[in-house]
Amino acid sequence: MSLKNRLREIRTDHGWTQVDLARAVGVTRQTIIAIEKGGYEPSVRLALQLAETFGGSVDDIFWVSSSKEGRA
Amino acid sequence: MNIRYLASRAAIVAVLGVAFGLAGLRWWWAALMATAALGFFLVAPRSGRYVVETQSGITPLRRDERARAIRDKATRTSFVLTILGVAGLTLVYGLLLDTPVPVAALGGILGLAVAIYVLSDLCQRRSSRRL
Repeated sequence: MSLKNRLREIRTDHGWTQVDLARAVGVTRQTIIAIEKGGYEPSVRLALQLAETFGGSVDDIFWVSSSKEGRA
Repeated sequence: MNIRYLASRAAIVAVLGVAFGLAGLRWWWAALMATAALGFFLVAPRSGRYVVETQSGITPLRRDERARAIRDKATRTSFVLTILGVAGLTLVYGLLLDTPVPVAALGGILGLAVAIYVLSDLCQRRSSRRL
């Protein structure tokens, strides 16, 4: 099982750059890139910060997948 | 970069330069080391390796959680491989050569430990594999 996310989609929908988002949640742009590529699984704290930043819940952004399929 | 950051880094570089000089380095070597430190301080905020918190005054650079995870893993990797290296050296010198491990060899192991740390850090930053 792996952690998937649609952070890039949500970020671009809001018109934010990776730098904007990184500054908003207090991490580096590299960390945002790594999360969007699925190369880094954020802590609960950071996931909550990301969700709060976009005014949604954590499971709007992240979900656990047992297959290679995207979210339905 | 704010003026407090620049002023504090300039002071640190000056102190480093004097310390290198007092440690017996030639003046040009001390100046070179201090210039390298100044270069690091100027590049670090733009490198993407650190979060810049300007409200923190003279200590604005912070590692974020991913950078801390990378540092921790690089430290563990370096530590384990260094211990294995020391064990290997001890076995080679103790069993095969029947002489004590020379200090120079231990220095080499320490250098290797630093190299492993740096390589591990770089590989993790560039890798798309999960941390």
